[in-house]
Amino acid sequence: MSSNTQQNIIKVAQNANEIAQSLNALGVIVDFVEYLKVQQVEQTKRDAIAAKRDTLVKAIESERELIENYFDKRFAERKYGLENLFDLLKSALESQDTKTVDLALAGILGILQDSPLKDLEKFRIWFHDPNREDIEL
Amino acid sequence: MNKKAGPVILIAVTVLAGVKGLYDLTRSGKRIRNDIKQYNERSKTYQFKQQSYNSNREAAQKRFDDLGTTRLNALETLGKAAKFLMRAKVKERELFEKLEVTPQQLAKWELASIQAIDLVTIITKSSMSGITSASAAYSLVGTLGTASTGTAISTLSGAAANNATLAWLGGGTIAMGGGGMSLGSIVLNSIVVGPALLASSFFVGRKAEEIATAVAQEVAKMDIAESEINRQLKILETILQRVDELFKSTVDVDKILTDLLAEADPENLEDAYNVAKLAKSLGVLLDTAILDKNGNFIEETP
Repeated sequence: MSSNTQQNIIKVAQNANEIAQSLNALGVIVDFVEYLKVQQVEQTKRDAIAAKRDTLVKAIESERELIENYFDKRFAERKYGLENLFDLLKSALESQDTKTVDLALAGILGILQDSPLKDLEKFRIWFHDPNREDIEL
Repeated sequence: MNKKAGPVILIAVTVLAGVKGLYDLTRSGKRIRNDIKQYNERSKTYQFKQQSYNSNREAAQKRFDDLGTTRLNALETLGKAAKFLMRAKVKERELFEKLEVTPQQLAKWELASIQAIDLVTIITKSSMSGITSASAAYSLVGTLGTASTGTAISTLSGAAANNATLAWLGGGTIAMGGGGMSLGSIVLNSIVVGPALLASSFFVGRKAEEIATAVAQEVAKMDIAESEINRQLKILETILQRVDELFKSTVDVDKILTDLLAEADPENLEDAYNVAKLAKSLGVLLDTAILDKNGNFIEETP
């Protein structure tokens, strides 16, 4: 081995520590492993967030659908009943038919005092039943 | 052994690391930008939804106000009916037995305007408290736009500042036929920058992951909040359907009673009977509340 080569080997050995520090190879590997860990942890978090979001949105949407289905039907029935009863009231007043006036007014008040929420629970149970069949409210 | 082989291998490795680092850095940067863009776009649509919700609430408030005004007007008619029945030629006993109205009730109808004003006030307040329950806006994280990228960039500089210059990297001293300290410095910088880029790409990659999660979290919150707004809008619509049926019925009964009072004869028992029945019905309608003090639909009408 030439003396130049020997000198170079000695220099390499002397500077190996400094080179290692400069490259910080271990640090890079540690960073890489840390990155992989973070990647996995964050992906798990995102999956959990999405799952929770989907569950909540589905539940809220289902409740909204229930409200829509129930009240649309309920108010449509009430509107139809009220229109007929008001027609009956007007004609009864014209003909001075006090009994029919009584009946029409009782019917109107019956509808208006009847809470639209009545039967909501019954409807809710039916609505969430996977084997549901149409029912009359 | 070729004295230049070591540095060449090192340079090759570091160049590869640098290329990989640059690629990952670019990719992470792009991902962060995309996430921020997604967040901003979602925020815009969410804010639009909130505005729509607020407009609907204001419109609902107006409908409640309209019902209140209608009730006040109807109250005036109720007062006229009370006066008519007081003039009617019916004995006090007949008033109660046939018309099912007590003198106290007539007096109450006359004084009812104050109660009606109170009622309108309560309804107005109730509608507000019920509807506002879901209007809490999400406090959106506004710092995403400035997060992370700057930090990542800053880590790229100065990574090699504390490293010593190794002359042998230059292939030996100039005297020995090598590149000397100057070339060694350049080589040193090169081999440090490569791994530094790679390390930085991991750092930025981690930040990109964290930002992606933060964005996912905020977007999920907005998704849930928007669903809740849709549900609240449906509830609001339902409450307004109830308001409308009471509004229309009150207007109709009020008009029928007003028309009847214009033609009715206090001496005609049938007229008195019809006026009493309609006035009673109108009184019931005016006493029908829609929401309780907490803004909830009243389930049982007393």
